[in-house]
Amino acid sequence: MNNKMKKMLESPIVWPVVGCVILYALICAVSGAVNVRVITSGLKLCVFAMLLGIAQMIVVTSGKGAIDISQKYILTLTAYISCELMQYNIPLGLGMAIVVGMTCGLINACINVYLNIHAMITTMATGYLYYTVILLVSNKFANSPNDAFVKFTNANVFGINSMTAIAIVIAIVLYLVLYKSKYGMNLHAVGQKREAARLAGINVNKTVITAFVINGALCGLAGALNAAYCGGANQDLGTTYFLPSIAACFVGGTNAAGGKSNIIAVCIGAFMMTLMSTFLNAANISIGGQRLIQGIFIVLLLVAATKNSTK
Amino acid sequence: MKLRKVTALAAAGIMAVSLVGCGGSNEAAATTAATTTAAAETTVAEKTEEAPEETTAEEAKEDGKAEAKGIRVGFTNSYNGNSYRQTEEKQMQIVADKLIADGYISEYTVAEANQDTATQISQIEDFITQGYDIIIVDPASTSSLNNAIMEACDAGIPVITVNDGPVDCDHELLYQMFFENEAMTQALTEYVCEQMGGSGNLIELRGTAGTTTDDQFHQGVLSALEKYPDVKVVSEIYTDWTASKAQTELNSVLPTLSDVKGLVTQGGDAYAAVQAFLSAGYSEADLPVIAGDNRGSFLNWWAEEAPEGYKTLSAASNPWIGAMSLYVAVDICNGDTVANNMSVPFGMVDADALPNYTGLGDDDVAFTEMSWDDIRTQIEAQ
Amino acid sequence: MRHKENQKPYLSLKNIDRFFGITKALQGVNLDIYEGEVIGLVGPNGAGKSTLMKILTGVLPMTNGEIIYNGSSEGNYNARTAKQIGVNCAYQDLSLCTNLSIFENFAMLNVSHSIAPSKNWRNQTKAEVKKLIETYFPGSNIDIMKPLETLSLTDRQVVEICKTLMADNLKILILDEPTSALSSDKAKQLHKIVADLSAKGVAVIYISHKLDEIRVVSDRIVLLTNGQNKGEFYSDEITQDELIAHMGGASEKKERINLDFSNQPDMLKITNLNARGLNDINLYLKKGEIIGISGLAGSGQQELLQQIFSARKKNIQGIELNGQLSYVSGDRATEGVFQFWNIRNNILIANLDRVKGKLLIDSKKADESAQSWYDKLKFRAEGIDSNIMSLSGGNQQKALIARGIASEADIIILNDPTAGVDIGTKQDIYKLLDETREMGKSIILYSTEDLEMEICDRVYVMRDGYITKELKGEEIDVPNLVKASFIETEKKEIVEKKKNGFSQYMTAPWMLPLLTLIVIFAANVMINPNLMSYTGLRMKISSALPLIFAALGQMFIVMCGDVDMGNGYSIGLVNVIVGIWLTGSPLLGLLGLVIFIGLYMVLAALIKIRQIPAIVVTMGAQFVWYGMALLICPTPGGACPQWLSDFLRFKMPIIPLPIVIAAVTGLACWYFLFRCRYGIILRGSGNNVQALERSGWSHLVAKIVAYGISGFFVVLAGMAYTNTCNGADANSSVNYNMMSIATVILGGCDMAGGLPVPVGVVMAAIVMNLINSLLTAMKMNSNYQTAIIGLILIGVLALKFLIHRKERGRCE
Repeated sequence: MNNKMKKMLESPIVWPVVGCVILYALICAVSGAVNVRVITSGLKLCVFAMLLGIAQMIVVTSGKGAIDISQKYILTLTAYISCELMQYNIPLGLGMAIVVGMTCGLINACINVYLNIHAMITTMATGYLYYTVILLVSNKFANSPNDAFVKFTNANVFGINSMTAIAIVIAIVLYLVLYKSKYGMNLHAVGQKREAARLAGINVNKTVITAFVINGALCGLAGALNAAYCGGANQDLGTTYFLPSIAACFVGGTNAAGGKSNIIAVCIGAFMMTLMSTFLNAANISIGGQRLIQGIFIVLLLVAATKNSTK
Repeated sequence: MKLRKVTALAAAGIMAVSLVGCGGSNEAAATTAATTTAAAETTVAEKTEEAPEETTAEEAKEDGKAEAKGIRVGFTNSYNGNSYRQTEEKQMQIVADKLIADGYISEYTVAEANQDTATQISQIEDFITQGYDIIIVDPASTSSLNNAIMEACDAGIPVITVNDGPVDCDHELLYQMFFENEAMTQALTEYVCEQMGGSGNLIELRGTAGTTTDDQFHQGVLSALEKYPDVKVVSEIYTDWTASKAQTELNSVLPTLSDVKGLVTQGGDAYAAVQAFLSAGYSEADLPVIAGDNRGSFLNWWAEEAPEGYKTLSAASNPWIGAMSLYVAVDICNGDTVANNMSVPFGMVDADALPNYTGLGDDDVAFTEMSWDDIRTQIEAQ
Repeated sequence: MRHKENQKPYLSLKNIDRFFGITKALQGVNLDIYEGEVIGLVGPNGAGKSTLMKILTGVLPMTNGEIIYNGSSEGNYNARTAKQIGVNCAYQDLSLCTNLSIFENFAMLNVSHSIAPSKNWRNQTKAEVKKLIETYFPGSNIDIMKPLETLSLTDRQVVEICKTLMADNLKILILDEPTSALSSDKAKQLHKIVADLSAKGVAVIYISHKLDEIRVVSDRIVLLTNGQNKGEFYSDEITQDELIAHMGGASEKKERINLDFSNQPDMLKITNLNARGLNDINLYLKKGEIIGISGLAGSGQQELLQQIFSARKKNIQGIELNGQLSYVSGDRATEGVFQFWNIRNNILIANLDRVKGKLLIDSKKADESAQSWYDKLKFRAEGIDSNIMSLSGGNQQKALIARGIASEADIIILNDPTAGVDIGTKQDIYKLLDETREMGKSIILYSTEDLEMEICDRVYVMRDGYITKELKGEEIDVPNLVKASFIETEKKEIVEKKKNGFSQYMTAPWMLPLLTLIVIFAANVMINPNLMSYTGLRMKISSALPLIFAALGQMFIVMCGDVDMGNGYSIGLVNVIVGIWLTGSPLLGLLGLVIFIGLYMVLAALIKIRQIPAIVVTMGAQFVWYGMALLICPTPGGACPQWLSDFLRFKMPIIPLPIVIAAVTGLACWYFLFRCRYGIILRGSGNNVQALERSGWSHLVAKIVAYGISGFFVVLAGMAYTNTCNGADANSSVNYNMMSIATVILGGCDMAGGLPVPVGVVMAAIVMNLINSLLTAMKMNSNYQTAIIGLILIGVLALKFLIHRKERGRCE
């Protein structure tokens, strides 16, 4: 039992959970009461950080220090697309948002893999390109969401918000893909040692490209949902989620060099970032103080969590 | 008048001399620049003859200017990513086209800086070196553009700041058109507090932290609150004036707050606030008093979907201020007397005026135009 | 020269044992080293030569035995002791920084780690190095100013040898396969060096497989086989054939079942293959056969295996592959083991199709499959769930072999699979291979251990990229193998490939930003001639100054191999400190700036000590900077300190001051990085940390210094920005982050580290500013500006990639 306890404490899930508990306690302290609604609304809110955090985790797991900083632009772009197309047909809008997201992911992957440009620089450059498309498109496309779709995102399914339900379903599906399917094992092999994976017969390029495309698809879905949730698309839509998604990914124990991931920890990490946002808003600290606290909190958590994940 | 002309000519002269100092090959460039500035001075005067009615004909004779040819106007907008700014630009283009057709303006260039101060500085500098006659700026920062604006003024190019100004520097050739932001939020907040019965929980939505505009709006709220000591601000949220941020942040904080009775906003997020309250479970009867922001989305909701007897007030800056500045620009280059600090009225929509504003697009901002005469009498003559 | 009868050895290794677990790498080995005597150390593969040398240099501790120096036994023999005694080894793995030039590498090695070296150190070192190379390898014409990576392999070997010869206290020199990359005339020069050293009283241990060379160079030949002394001979008293015979030992005839495969189909047929160092390879593999690849290490075996493996996907002329192929690597650390996984996953990864259902992996089937392998291979561990890194080398190898066989391929390549594996495990593996053959699989086995070849049906022996002999059945025994591995081939004279001078010039990293600058500037001037004026230039460059400084700051961090994702907000913080504090209360402002630079250095320490990726930490740090900035300056305001704006606005005659500042800063950085000694260290730290630390420099200090300098440039950027704006605003400088990274890349720096290009970066920053003007002048929608930056990034890097690929293609 001692060994099992030890193993549990070393799991990357520990730190996000600790963070959640601390933040929840702080929220209750600041608002003066123990509040269950915080949790239920937090579950709805964390959907976007969760989807993006998981997507980021998949890219990072593919190894070689890969990271995608064009996520927020993909999200914004697909938000516009879904608003525009949902005027005609809801599934079309949703579908195209995901397809465009996947295309962006494909572009990112091809530049990274075939031109051998580091993923961070690639996605920085393509992010600029996607941003330009956003700027060009934002004047011409509708940017109000479809009412029926908005109602859907506000509705509850079995007592949970529909978006949260979708996110949970996706998380479960990806859990199976990442840890119980051939592709998932290939991905983790590629992330640990590309050369060994190649020699073991894995098609490394295909695996990496698929990871980026999945990332794009998740961003596309998040974009469509976000447009509905926020009452419309605007040029800065994705900016809010940049830090939470990256923080959730790394605080959730993802190994920055690749090959190791824990989707549950990342989901909890996303929830933690939402709680942090709630706390900062409720605590009435000056905005400068808020940012400072956010920064220090993240850095500290990274210092602690990195130790855990490289084991 | 004379002083301005002398300053301008002197500035042109200095520029010409310094250009010459750079070497012979730049002679051509130097003379072109000097000529352009001088020509601008003369051509503008000519226009006064074509301008109707209250043209300062005496002044034109006084300076003895020649036939007008049309001024070159450069506009740098700090940001055009939201509906307010897009309305601003759209209306400016409409007015510019009209003025070009009438010969007042020969060239109108728009540059947009994507919220980056350095880019905007660069754009102002480019307008200077490209010899524009007047520069209109919707500034990204009220303090960071000081140098660039001073450079333009020192070079004899008048600068008009609109909308997100005023910037904190001074020059004869610097004209600032701004809104009384403090007064606006003060009026809104007082109304909301009254409706709340003078006591209760209030949420304040702010803009981008660290900007002058946000600070001015905030001061207005504070002034109003002094009169209502029983109204408590339970949360201040920075939304960057965007609906999505407002909705996200409100949704995260509402569950921790109880019994919010009122909400004031700086603009761009009033409807998002409505949605946030609704999705947080506030019933229509309990819906707090939400001050509106003249966006179509809010006005339409107010007119059609708000519960019976729901009382509120809506106000916002008037995006037509940009178009207004074009008329002012022509007048300045004409040599007219224009005040250096011009306060532009903001737009207010109360329940009585509401029916006039139905049918706006969700993203449109209600705006009011003014005739050129009214501009001259009410704005320029301050 | 030969040692005298009564001469006492300078250093004696007595009864050295070295065990790795159960493996006995060395057993009771004795070696006496006499002053001035050249020992030729020979032995077949796996004899223990490298292990013995590692013990001699103190890098590896011995399990048993003693080392006697000056008559007394050395207690704690380690690398330092070895250095003090005067042991120096010319390594094969070149412990140099490839981005530095030769003389810079030598300068780094200089023992004196003082902050300020002697005034004339550059010329002094240059002269020393030149003299050194001329003395030892006259006429080699090596350019000591060029970066190491541009040198040919031959020149690099020369440099490595010279580096070793430069050591202060050289008493025992070890040369490990020193002439493998040298042409014959250079080899002759090396022999002369050895002779000279010997005359001066230095002992030399010369390891080589070239037996003729050994007999020429050495006084005494020491033979090692299987980790034991096999004999000592004076080189003029023994012939080459006798040597080989001694190495081979007596042939122990084993019972052998000779199988006939002539009726079996060809699984693999190679005809006249000429590629990548391979010459005229002809080879075939029948179904059910085990064929071996043998010969002295480095004779082309690795290349052959790689070619066969590539034939799976690509069509390679001369290789005909009839079946599925799997590959088992003996280099577990880099090519084999998945370090985060357990045994189960390591085995199953190559065979997932077998254990999965329609969509998902059937964990029951998977466990069963893994368990059956586990039992069959008799792992020594706690079960299939044990993490693979907890296993011994031998057991790890078993897992890899299981992976190879489990993959259900028809042909299995094993690349030195029993390297570092104990005898017991080896036997298990041999049995396994036999069973595999019975399943109908075919095996290609490459091993550096000749004894192992006896399990093969046929063996191909290689030398210099040729197949020199094919041994069949009964012919396969160690003596024959050893004899065959020394068969001479027609030695191809090693031709040095010189680099084309012009192409080097064209690929200089600052060429691209220079060309871009000229083009963009010309385009701007064409549209707007006013730009060429004093005022126009002054304005443009002055507003570019913040970016120039920001990019230089980013450059120092990129040089370390990191990226600063927070420098937009950090510039904002400085802007605020300067605009509000420095103007109001200068002392407070100064203190703030100093603390700021200190924080950057703390960041460096955090990154190095805790091994956190810089990109993530700096992203978190940006919120810290932003928060502090907002606390100091909640609303825009402040002003530029009078002295600062007076200085920056000073109207210099003829050339505007900003241009002067830009040029001076760029040149100053260049001077520091390329002409000062610590600059060399900093550049080296971005390329080869190991080389740095081997020379006694601290990587942590280097990183802290680099980040500190970067922080200083952020301060300059903030100051310049405050002047440009004449105000403070926490929000307004965010864009500098992406812009600085783009500028650094356009400037020609290498994102991987080690290659800063200060002048290029300055030019690139000006380009960025001018592009903006160009767009405004062309009345192009300013939305496109961001797209253009993105395209520049991709374009520049794609270009670099293509050029690099062409270069590599030419080198081979």
